[in-house]
Amino acid sequence: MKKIFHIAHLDLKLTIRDKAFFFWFLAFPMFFILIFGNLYKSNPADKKAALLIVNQDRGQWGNYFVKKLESPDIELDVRTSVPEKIIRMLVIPADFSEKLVTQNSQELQLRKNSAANMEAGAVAETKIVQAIARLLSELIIYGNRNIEDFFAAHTPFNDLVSIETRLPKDTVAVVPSGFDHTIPGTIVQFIMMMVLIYGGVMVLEDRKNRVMERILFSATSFGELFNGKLLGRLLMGLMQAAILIIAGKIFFHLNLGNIFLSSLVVLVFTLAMACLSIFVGSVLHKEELIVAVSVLAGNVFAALGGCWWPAEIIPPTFRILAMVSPAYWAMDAFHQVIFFGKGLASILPNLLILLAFTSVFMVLALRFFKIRE
Amino acid sequence: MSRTILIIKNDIKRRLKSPLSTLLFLIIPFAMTALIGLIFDPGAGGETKLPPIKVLLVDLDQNIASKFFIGAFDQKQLKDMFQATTVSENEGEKLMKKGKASAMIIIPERFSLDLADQKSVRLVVVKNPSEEFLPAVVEEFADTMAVGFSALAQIFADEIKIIKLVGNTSLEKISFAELTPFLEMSRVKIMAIKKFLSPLRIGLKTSVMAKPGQVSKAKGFNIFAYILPGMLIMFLLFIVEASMREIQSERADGKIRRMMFSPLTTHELMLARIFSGWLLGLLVCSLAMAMGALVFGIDWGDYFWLFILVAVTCFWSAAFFGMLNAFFRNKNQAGALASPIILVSAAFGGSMLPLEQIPSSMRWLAGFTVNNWFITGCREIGAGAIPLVSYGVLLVSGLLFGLVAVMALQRRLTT
Repeated sequence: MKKIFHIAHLDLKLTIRDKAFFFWFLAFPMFFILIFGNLYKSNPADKKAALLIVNQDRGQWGNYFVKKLESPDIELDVRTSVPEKIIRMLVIPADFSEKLVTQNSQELQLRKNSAANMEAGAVAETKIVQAIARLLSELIIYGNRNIEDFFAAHTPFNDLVSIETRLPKDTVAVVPSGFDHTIPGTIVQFIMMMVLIYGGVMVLEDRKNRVMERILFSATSFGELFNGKLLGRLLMGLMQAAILIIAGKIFFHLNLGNIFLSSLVVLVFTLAMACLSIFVGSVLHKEELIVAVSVLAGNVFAALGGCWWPAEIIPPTFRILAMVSPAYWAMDAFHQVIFFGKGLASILPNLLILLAFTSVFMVLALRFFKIRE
Repeated sequence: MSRTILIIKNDIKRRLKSPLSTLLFLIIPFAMTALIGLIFDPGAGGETKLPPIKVLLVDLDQNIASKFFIGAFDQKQLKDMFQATTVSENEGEKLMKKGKASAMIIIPERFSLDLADQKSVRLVVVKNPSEEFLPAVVEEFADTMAVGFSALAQIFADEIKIIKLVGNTSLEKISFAELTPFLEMSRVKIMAIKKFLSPLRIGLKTSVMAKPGQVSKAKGFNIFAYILPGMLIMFLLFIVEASMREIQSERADGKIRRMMFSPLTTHELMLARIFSGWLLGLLVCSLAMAMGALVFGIDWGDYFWLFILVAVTCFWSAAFFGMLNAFFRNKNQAGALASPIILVSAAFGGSMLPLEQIPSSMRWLAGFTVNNWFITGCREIGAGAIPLVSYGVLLVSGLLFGLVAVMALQRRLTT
């Protein structure tokens, strides 16, 4: 057992000593977290849509329509001329009042910048449609009376039906932030990438430089050598996860739900990746090839598994296809623990499937593990 | 000159002998483009279509308004958008706890009666906490439905009162003469609704504005053409970097030193290395673009200007990594630093995600990346323009890097 730890410790030490360690294990994943966390943050305040209204109307209906648009979800900026920089803009034409009074149809123009936030854009569009519905309802209720007297005599629209939102009972109490969604995905992706690349390349180098051959000249057995290599890769993955969890807790107040269960998911997933990295390092004979295969496998598994974007927007066919990715099962388990507060019984099927992946990769790793070229 | 050509020939021959890693780096951008493109493939209208949203409906009211609300989900347009299932409250709560739907809408008891009495009512939207976008879509939809129901309740306030009254009274006690004024009132309102809604008195037209040179996601938008240039340049950098890293191997095994015993000059050697890296990049990039046109149906625009852009970009890449490898002490240092440089450049340059998604405070960094100039160049050519700025920036900086590479290698070989 001591020898296994010794071999694992040596591999871990070599990883930490690598010149690019800081970049791969901390800086780059943090960049991912920052960008994707901001991209998918779901705090309602962040979704608040900015809407520029260019009110060119010559009458008073334009101003009245703007009042109908007022809502806590949008930030209105009312002007009379078009500014240079536009995020999204609603143009109320000069003849807006005239056409309403003369009972002619008209179309308001909503222009959105292609670079603007799509979610906020959708919110703004919905609010405009609702404002139109409110105004038309008032006009219908007002009926055939003299339109000139509308502002003095009409009945204001009353929002009788309101919406209350909540989360399912006995799940999380606070709406998860974008970072709560992004960090587990980044942890899974970088465990995959780092264990596959570093673990695979080190197996190749140890074989090429006859390090493993020399180890076997000592009193170390083949089993101890293999287990040492496996433990080394497991520790690499766990170290990667620990770095990101600590950074996530400090900088983004990461919520991982039951930390014991989340750690268990990380452990089982890393074990599968550790076996896969030994297999990859054993069958490929060039560093470039290991990097290319690891980048390809890591990215495809991460994309399919829901590490990059919310799994809900993936078409159903791809969701089924995603089940071949170990990342999918790890992410699903994370979701159950973090967002639904589920216990061990709920994530047990996920853990068993990840262990099945581990078994397959372990058999392959053992079958192809080579001491010398 | 013949010596330079000989080295280039040798380099290319060696690369072609073991093309697996180059091929893999060529496959990666295609695999990623295909995956991202198929997931986010926009429909015919150019808008990315979301998968059907699973919604659970709980009807605690069991009256006319709630039936009307639930019936709305049977309309063709809403059927395509939502996959609605009516469930009991307990069943719904259980399913939501399992994350089996994006959201659940609970229509409260007395919903219809309270609306008829013009009292405030509240629809409850239970959102799936593990999802980020779809529950928000359901919430916005429910909010719009709420406005619609408020409007109907107010427009037909009097009529609803009569219906309620009729419901509570036996028919013998009602005289149709008494109902006639209400029927007439309803007729007037229905005609007024028709007048306002058909055609719609106030409509909304949405359009997307694009910056000059930027592709607007309108009709004919090809998502693969949007993704592939970014992916391609990222992995092209990996391919060219691997080719230029040969300088380190040759230095380590003494090959360069032996070559220097021949009449070969460092200028010729560096020129040959940059040229072979450039040629390899050009070959791979042209192949990838041809495949992009065939597999993804990408219309790259004018092929002459595209070829110039690819040539200039590959020259930049070869010169840049030639310079770095002339500075790096050994292969390990090159391996440790080159990949992070490529990935940082890809992240800030728009290869990993569109530039507009990067926080505005970081966007200026894109100007320092080859990725940005290549992607911008491709888009400009696709839009029918000539990317003169991209050509200029890449050519001038490439020449500068090439010059520094020659000087740095000369210094490294003589010290």
